[in-house]
Amino acid sequence: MRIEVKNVSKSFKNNVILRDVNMTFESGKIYGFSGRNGSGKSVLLKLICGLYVPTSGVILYDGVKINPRIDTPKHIAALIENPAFFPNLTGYENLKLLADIKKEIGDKEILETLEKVNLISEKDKKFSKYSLGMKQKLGIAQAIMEDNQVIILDEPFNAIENDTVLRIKTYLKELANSGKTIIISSHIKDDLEELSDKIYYFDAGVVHE
Amino acid sequence: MNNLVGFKYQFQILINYFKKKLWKWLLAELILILAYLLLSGLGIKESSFDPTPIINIISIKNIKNYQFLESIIFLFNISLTFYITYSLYTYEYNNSLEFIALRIDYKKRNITKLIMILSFIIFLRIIYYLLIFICYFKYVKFTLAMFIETIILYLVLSLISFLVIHLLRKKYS
Repeated sequence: MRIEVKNVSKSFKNNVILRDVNMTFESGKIYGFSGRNGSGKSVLLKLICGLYVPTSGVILYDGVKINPRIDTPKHIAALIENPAFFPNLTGYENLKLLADIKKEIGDKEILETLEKVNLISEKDKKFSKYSLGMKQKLGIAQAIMEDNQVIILDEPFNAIENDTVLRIKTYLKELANSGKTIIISSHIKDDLEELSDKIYYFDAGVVHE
Repeated sequence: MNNLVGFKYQFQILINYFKKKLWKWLLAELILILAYLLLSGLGIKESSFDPTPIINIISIKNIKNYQFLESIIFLFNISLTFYITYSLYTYEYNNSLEFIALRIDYKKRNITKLIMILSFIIFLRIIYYLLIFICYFKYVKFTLAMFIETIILYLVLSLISFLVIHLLRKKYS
């Protein structure tokens, strides 16, 4: 899927978060968003997901504009900010609940995804008992478990142990090689430089390459 | 039925919300009702028992004659209905909206949510009624008209709240 962000600005009341942003995302590539906390990375990710409405400008998905007031784009999966699952359900049950909405995948795919993020041994533990890193891994799992064209991950490697980070990075590269578009935001430059084909730098709402 | 996609997810939201916050409000309401019933004639001899106060707190028929505590309970019920509608509507907006919003059509999500909220309001009112009538079946005559009337009042209130919150959120997103 080709996503075009054209002259997009976003303000909340009088507070300008993003100014006249232009960028294009192509299939088969990994894009990195770098910048300080509060520089507008998460807001742009939410705009791309259709969770916010741009104050001005337009976002096109394969050339088609979607009105976020009445719809969200198809074939995008995302983890933005802290994952909020149901605390009374296990990790597996939480993924199953989400997978049952679209009904594209079954138990086999869910378990394979848990394996990919190194969470299989904790699958039957309640989410409320998960550590910060385990919660993050489950958040990544819900974003990658279905066959979506675009995967958006906001600060995905927070609190995750190094060997799992390596594992997830390898898998994301495989996904990009198979034609998926990956967008990752991080304030850790090394992570982005290692993974990304292109990095966008955010500074107080202004974006440059 | 095709529009009820994600019903299990909405049901989990309800369970989670009930466990986290709602049970405290329902308990507060129960305490208010018990206090009211005690103050309004319980313990008095059966022959002099007046069921009107009980009817007043589950009905809106005698709203003009409401005593102070009856008014408090009535206002509490109205506020609770709005609070339940608001909390359930906004749950995803405060809890990883992308999980559900990217999996289900916007319109279907809202229809499912509305049905879940209205079903829960009906459920609460039925429980409320049953409790009162089980405790006081000797004194209070069940009338279907009154039963439907109070359920509809809260359903309409919830529906209006839902639409207002929906329109405001759309405007300011």
